[in-house]
Amino acid sequence: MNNKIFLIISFLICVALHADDAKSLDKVTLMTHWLPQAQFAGYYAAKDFGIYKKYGLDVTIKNADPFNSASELIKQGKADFITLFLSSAIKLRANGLKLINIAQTSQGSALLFVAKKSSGIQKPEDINGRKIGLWMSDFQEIPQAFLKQYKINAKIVPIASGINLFLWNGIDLVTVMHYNEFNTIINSGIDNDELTTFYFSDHNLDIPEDGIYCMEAFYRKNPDICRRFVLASMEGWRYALEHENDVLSKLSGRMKELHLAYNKFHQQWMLKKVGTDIFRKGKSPGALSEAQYLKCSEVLLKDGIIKKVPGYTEFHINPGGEKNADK
Amino acid sequence: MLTNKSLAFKLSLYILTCTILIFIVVFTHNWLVSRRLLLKSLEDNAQNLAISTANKLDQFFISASAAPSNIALYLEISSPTEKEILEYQSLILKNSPEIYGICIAFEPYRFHKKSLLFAPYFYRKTPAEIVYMDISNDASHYFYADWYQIPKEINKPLWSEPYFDDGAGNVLMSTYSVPFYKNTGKEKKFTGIVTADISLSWLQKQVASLKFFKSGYGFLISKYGSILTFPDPGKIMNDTIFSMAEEEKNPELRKIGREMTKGKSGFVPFHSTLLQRKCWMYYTPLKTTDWALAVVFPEDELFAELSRLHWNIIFLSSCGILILFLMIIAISHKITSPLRKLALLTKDIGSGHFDIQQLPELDRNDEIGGLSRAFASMQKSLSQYIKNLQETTAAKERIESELSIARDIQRSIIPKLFPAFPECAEFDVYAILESAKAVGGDLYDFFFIDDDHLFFSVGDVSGKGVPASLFMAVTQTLFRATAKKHTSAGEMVSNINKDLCRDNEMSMFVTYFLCILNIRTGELEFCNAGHNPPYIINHKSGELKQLRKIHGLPLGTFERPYTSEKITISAGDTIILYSDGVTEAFNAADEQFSDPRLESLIRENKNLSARQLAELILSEVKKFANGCEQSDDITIEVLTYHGLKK
Repeated sequence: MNNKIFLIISFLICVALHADDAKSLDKVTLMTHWLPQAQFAGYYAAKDFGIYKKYGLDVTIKNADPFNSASELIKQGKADFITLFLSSAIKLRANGLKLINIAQTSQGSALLFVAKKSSGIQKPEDINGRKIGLWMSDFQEIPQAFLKQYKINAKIVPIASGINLFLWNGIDLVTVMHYNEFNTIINSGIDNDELTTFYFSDHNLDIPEDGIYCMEAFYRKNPDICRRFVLASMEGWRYALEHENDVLSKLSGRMKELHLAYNKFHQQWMLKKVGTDIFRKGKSPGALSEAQYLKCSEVLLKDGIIKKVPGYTEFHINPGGEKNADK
Repeated sequence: MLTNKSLAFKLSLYILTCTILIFIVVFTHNWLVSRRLLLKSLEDNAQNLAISTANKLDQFFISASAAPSNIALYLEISSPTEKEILEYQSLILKNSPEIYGICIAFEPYRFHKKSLLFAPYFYRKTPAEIVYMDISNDASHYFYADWYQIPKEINKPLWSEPYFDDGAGNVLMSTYSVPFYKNTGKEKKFTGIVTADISLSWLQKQVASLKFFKSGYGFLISKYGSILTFPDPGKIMNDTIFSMAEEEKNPELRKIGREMTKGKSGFVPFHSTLLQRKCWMYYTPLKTTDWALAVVFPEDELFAELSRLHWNIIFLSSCGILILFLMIIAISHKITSPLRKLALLTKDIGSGHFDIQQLPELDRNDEIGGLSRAFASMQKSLSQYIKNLQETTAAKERIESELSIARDIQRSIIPKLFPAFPECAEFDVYAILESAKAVGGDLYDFFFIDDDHLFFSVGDVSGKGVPASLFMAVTQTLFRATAKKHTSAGEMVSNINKDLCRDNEMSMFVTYFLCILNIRTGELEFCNAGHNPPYIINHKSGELKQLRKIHGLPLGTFERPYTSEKITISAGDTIILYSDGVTEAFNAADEQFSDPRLESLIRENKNLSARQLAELILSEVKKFANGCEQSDDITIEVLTYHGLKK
């Protein structure tokens, strides 16, 4: 159903574009909330393989880093669109930044805490008094909620990225994404059965993560650009999943440019995991259900991270698709 | 199956099979042992190579780590000014050619109370040019860099995982970080980190110089498996040995990686994706860095010389076996050729040519010579034997021909034309004599003494063959010659006995039963000289009786008178005379035909004619014997009296 609508809209846009070839492309900037990796393959694919162009967009993709968060940059007007964790976005909105969610790509949680079994950590209570590595930028809300849920008093060590501090036993636990750092730990020679994992989704914190955001004012002014951006991005995702090798080869160039470690096998794995999360059966890609929204907001409210839940309809506009069915 | 093959074939088959088996065992053993020795020696070589390289690298790391350690010590025990620090730092770098850059990174507000960050960094822009920068100016949050954060958290110096120093060094490097502390009275307070960077390109060169065989290579991995040096530079920093194992779906490689990162040494086989073949790897840890060095070399190159050597051995052995095969064929041919000659001659001898003079190899002293001589002796004896045999056979043939003549003569003595007296309707006589040997000892006879009196008799001479038949002929001739002179049967027998006893040096005797029948009156006079008592069938009453009376011993034994007696028989009565060949005929079960069987046979067939009855008895006796050799002459004589025809 979705696909049909998608195709019809694409067709109409193509017709519109052909009708007015002279019309110049709309220049916009996307800021991904982390360094280039397969987590953002859909956006790179849309740019590298002419999908944004097809939708009349000239998109510049920039990336945040551990020291420059995407939310800071959009605040400063350095980006039109950003990707962000849902929890971070709700926090920012509640705190007055007029961000709106125009597509919720991630449909579930991939966050977890990892500890080495050798550290003696078996269950949440064992974390008390231990050192936990948490990313210093936008991604702390859900790990914090986990700690509060179990009334854990641990020492938080802010980390930039990576898992080396954890590997060297500088910290006892570390937050990781299942599709990324978790696999890196395995690829550092630590076996699965040597690790204790706390998947937040198993602890009543199955909060979806990545979504596409822009400022409310930008949306009011350019609803069509936003709509086209979301449609093109989602098409980019489909393209990336269907043309894995081409997309990854382009991605490797980007990563090498930034001197980031590029491991094709790892990125492939990440692309598959993230892609599966975006196109889940029974979910409308890009939609954020009110239930998901409220669940995340309640967690933040309970933990005192926000004082008031921003209105769902003000927060989420889905110009690229239908509302999520599961309310 | 092999029994039909020649001796030469069998000999070569057995010897070659044994030789090849021995060769295979020796070859396999040799292969395995030399492979093991080679592998051991190569393990030693690989170990030496790896360890010496590891030592070299360790020396390098020790030397590279000395500078930051000294600086850290200097900063702990003194409080230099910024200028002093920078001078000292640049001087040290100048004198440490192995180091790419040195950084002293302070905790916030720990150098100046007023300035948040201070991190002076000197590095080599070119080998000769040393450049200074304060990395804290570059907004890089060095507190969160691994080279800073890890030693800070674990409170000990370490070599970092490889990374690209973006913004400062701008090379792929690893950093040795030494935390330093200040005594604040109560406790040592963490103050900062001193680092020494080394460029991985130097390591790459060192490890690339490791050459083993044609395509062997070396590589270095970090404490957590990151590839630090590798023939394919694309793997450096991007891969770990574990991600390579995952990508190649090679759990063995992961196992090896875990051993390496645990600081163990080993010599193991593994499949190298880089070389696309089976390889061997020796790995050993670096003592200074927790890193591990591995030397890899392909198995086929390792065993190339050994394989060549073994192919040579196989080729030479095959030639040897071929020569051996030809030799065996030749030798066995030579050994068996006199045997074949002998076999041919034997065949000749077998076909009757006993006069072959030249038996081969008689002068040899081995088994062949022995066999030849034995054959010669056999040929001689055989020749003699055959000669004797020929003579004997000739004699035998002569005797047999004579015996045949004797038989004819004997047969001619006894009457054998039946019906004997076709003109006489008063009686009917029929007789059979079946000799056990060519010439028998039984006899029968019948003739008219005068017009009314018919003489008929059966006799059995002791013994068989020619003497018996001669005695029989004499007896028969005597009876025929003197029958008319006598008045009674008893007298006739007495006189003839007298003649037979006389000059009977052979002590032969004859049992004899004699009858004289008056064909007109039916009066029957008879005398039994030790013979089987005959049967008489009374036609009227149907009664069968035996004339049991014996009138004396067999003829030829003692000179003494014999009596006789008379009975009268009626028309239709039948008298049956026989010799003991009938009743004493044996069958396969060693049973005799016996009197009762004869008696019942006659009783059941009393109405048959003389001829029919005689032939029936003979055929029954033969049927009873069922092919068993006839041991005695069989004589049957049957006379049926019809009386005078009106």
